[in-house]
Amino acid sequence: MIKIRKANLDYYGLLTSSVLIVALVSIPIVYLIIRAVSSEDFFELLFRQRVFFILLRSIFLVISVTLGSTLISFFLAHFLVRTNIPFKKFLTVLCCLPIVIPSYVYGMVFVNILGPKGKFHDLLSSLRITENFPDFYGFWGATIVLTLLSYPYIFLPLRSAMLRMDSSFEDASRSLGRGRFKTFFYVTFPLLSPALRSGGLLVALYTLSDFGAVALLRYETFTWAIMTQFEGAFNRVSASVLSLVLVAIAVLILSSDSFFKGPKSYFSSSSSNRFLKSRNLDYKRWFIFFIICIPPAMGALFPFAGLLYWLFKGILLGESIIIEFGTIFNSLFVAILAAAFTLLISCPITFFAARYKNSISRLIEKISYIGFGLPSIVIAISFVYFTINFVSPIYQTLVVLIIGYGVLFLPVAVSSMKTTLLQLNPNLEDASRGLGLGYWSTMWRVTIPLIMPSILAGALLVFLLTLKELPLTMVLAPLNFDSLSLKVWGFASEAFFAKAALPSIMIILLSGPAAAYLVFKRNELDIRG
Amino acid sequence: MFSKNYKKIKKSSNYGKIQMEDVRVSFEGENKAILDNFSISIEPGEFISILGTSGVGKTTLLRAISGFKRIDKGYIRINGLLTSSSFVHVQPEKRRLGFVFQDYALFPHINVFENIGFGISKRDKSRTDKINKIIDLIALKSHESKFPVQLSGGQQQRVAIGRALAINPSAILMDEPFSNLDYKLKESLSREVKKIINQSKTTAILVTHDEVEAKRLSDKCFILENGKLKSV
Repeated sequence: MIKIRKANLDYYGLLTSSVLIVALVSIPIVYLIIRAVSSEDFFELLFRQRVFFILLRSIFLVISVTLGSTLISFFLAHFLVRTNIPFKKFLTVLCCLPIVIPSYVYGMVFVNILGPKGKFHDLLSSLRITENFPDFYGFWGATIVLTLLSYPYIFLPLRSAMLRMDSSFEDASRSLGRGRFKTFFYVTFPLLSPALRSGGLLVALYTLSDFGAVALLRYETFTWAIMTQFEGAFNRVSASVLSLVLVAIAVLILSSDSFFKGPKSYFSSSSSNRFLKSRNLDYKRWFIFFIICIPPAMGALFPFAGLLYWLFKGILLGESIIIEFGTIFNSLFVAILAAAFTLLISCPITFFAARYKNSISRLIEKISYIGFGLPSIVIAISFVYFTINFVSPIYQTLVVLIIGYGVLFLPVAVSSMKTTLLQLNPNLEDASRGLGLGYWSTMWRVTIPLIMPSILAGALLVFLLTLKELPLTMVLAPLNFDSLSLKVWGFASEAFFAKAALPSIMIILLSGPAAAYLVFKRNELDIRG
Repeated sequence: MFSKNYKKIKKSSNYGKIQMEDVRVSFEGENKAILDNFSISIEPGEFISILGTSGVGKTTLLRAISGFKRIDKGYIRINGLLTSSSFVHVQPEKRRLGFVFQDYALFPHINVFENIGFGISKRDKSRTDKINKIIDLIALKSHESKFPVQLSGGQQQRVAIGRALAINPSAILMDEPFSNLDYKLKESLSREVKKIINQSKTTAILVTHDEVEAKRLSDKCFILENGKLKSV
């Protein structure tokens, strides 16, 4: 009798806390939807030519960036896994570097160098060949910038899948009479498709939610249009209607993944790769080495070099470039708080989802993934509306900013922890219970220490993403609050590039070690940008 | 050339004959040979076993015959035609040899029926009949729509053998196909495999480290040691 009661207590304890957290995550979004739909002008605002064109532009961008990233990732992963290219480890790390570059920083560098009246443009006009130089503003600029920044989200899972893939599948196909091309088409590609799907989904959502690059490159997608409505026109109903369409696209992208049904992975961790072939490239290997260097050089080294150039130029021209320790402190403080808070709210959901597999736990877990599918601008705006109307004392305070980050990055922490928790041998917990420890003591003394590396990795990931996050910080930050991302945006949007360089470099340097640790440690990043 | 002549070869008395003469195989960039001056001749319909300890080169031998590994010198002839030498290398898909991998290598994304029919062209009008015939042979009639992960170890192994036989191969090469099974299943399945291969009258090469298994199944047994063969 006592035992049954205790088990119920564990269950209801986790259930109650999970439901409360899920309510925190979903209520503002639900409120935003209700508000938009119940507006008198809802249909008038929704069925406009402008909305249709923004929709088309957003979809084109998502498709082009996802395709571009897939092609680059396939090329890189193939040569880094299947050939004898020199300096493989170095190149693999190099290929992951674009992850640390925020899109608004790259957008700023890109506009200044390759945009109209940029440095490259000046050079070409001095050589009188400007007429043939393509305009990198708009669609092509946004596509190039976002592709070069987001390809690692496909490259990492694809590389990992290629490493785990037993080459006996390909051998079996060839022994059954299928040539190289058909083997790739019928065996290799389907086996790699789970990795491609998950990576492609991340890139599609990253592109859809990007604000910084599209705004600086003047390509009007939903995020930019929503921010303009919200900040400039103060037309909040229009902003919420646009947000609703953006939510619909995100849901469509997420459901397209389940449309292409299939398992998340075809390989078990024990799958052997005894005969993982390494093709000898002979004399071509240095040529391929050079080509492999191009995407990371364009995605990470080019923007970093651009920032250094402005910084030194600004210093030489005597511009007042000051390191504001208060801003750095604010960024770090908020990122640490966000990581701690996200970790705190992710624990009950993760344990509930991993330990009690029923329809309630599955529903709770799915709702907690809202932040994964929704662009940060939508989450931010929903929190603004909700706090103004229901909890005005916390409107424009650090509290709501941290909760916003928590909702946005909750899926990152949950997925990081849940994977390890599911792999944990249940006998270990049973052994502890058998030795007389209760449920909570076992969790504290056995489970948590065992999954600690994943907990830390999740926290580090949230820290890194918070440091870079722009739209949510812009909308939810308290008045007079300055962070590095806000500084960069403030200077860049007014074309003070030299002043924007230093905070940009600070973001890259602060997030660099965390990103490097994650790439080395986990070999796979399952994150949104 | 090899595949174009296939119909003629099939009718010839050499169909299923495998010859290796003074074959040398080494790993890329390494001077040490895994197989050196290796020679063997296997007659059509013969079932031979090659015994040896781990790392002795048993799998490499099968990979050289099937064309996954190039040879440094010597000759390999299949059905009387040259398939490997230091200057000739017929691609694996052109050799028509059924390969049963140690871990079976069943394609996890397609079901049993499609796994067995993988090597049969979709344009072949008798494809379904051919697959059904194999399914009957391996006694997996009610499992054809299942995926490999839904099968037991023994069933997976039968699918792997059926898949290799479905292409009507010159010979079937088996790389320790029973090593992942428990003793009882190993014994019953090996009998079944022998029956299936005898029925299909296919040349078979089995590599294993289990002497009892080798003697039970094959017509001739050899031991591979230091890159050379010895009769048991």
